[in-house]
Amino acid sequence: MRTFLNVLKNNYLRTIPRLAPTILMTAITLLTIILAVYVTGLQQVKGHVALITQSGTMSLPKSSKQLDITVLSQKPPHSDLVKQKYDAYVSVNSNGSYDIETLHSNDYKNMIAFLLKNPDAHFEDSTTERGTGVNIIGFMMMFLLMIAFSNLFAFADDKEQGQLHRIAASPASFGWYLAAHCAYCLSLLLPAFLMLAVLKWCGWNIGFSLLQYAGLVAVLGFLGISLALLLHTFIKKPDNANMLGNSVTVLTSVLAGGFYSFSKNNSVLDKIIKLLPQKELMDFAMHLQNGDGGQHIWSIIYVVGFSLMLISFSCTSLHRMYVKKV
Amino acid sequence: MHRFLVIFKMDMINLFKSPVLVGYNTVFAALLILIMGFLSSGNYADIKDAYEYYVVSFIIYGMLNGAMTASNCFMERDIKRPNLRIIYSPVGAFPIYFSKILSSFIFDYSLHLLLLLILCPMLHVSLGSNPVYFILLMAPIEFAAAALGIFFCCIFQCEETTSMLLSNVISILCFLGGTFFSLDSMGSTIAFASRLSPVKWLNDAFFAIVCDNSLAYFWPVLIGGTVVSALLVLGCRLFFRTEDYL
Repeated sequence: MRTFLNVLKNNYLRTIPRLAPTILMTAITLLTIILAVYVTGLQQVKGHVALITQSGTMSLPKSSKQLDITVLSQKPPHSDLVKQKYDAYVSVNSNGSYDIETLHSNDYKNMIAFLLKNPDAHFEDSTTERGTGVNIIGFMMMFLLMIAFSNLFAFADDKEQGQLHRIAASPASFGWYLAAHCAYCLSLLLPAFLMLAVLKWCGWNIGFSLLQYAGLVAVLGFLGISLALLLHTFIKKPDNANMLGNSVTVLTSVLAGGFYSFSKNNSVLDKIIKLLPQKELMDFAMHLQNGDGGQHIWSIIYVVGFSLMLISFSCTSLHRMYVKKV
Repeated sequence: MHRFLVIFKMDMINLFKSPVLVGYNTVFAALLILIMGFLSSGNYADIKDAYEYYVVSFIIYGMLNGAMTASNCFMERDIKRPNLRIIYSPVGAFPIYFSKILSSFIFDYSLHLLLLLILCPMLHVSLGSNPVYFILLMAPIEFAAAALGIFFCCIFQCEETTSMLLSNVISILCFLGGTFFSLDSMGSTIAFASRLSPVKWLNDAFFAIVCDNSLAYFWPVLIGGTVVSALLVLGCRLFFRTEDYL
């Protein structure tokens, strides 16, 4: 226990010269929370249409709840379609019919044509709406996981500079030493949680209750620590481990649909993605938002189990590499 | 010149010997393009359009991340000591940082060209009617990114701080610039914020070349990139202090 407290205290002291990057990283996480709240509040339209017409005398369709229409006299370049600035170009013929040019499928084309004629028609959304809470968790996910990599710097430094051998040989408990690093990493997630508490206190709608957030953030932090510990254990140089870890985190978080849920019906790929703990966490958050989180408790248990497996694997390897060898 | 070449050769070999750096610039980038393109292809009538967007935007992402390659090759712990010895040799300080800039520029540039050479025919993506412009425009951006990495190292004198700071700043700018998905369609406020990001300007320039065969942005970006590169090299000269190595 004394080892635990000493290492923890030591870690905080070692943070002081690295204060600026730590604060920056935290600030970014806080910004993403605000971004998530903002994005959820946006009205989603079915499409952005550029209406190209030379004569202003005709009665043109107006922007509606479903369609955002910009009237232009000249056709914008093709790159605006690729960049998704506009979803479709509609040119008005002299007899009042429309020519639609889009990169999207034929179904989409027909929907635009229909909406131009009947602006008040309502199309049912096939995807389920993501609430504020799910968006906040999804946006924060990547950054919280990346924070874990940089916050395990003390452990990585110890390992690279050979301190770990000395710690293993000393009477200090190796388990408590690792636990202190984990506790340190988790404690640095507190600002994000406090930010959520402040937002809630100020009366913003943040989706979940604070207790639910505490659980989700803790699980995320735990997952990040387990992954970071694994990579730092097996990769000698901390920068290489950080770089690899950041790439893996970006890739898997995007795949898991943290920022943007993809509608892709490919069963093989879906099954592979389902194996990602981040995906399970997002699914759980989604169910929690819909109020049936209790039935899907296995998703979150999978995430925790995954982290526990990684941690126990790195611990046994570390034990073999350092404690037994001495 | 000969002395410079010796250091330069060493730096090149060091870079190509690092599996993480090579993998980051080839396999990781290719995976990102393939996965993102595949996931978003459901929205498009022609699957090639989805890949076109991500090939261009992730190449830009990769080019900017060249700053990390540079910072890694400049201030890694194993390289700091040899650098110290070079400072005391008759070569002087300039070749130390400039050879790192040049070697990481060539390293990133060649790997990204290789990536384009493989991915474009495979995914049927065209880089405009004349790909030379696209490739030519990549050069100053790659160089500026490498110089930025070294410049940050000179200021912060620590590789970890630099790479963490850089990777976050670049990720945020890329996110805002629409690398992962376009923000243009998300309302006027976000579209405006997107326009503040330099990545957005790069995206615009490269997409204009790829989709419209328009060279309207070509010269401004080329000259801008060159000026920024020159300024950053000058900045390295000002901020590079030999005392930091002791």
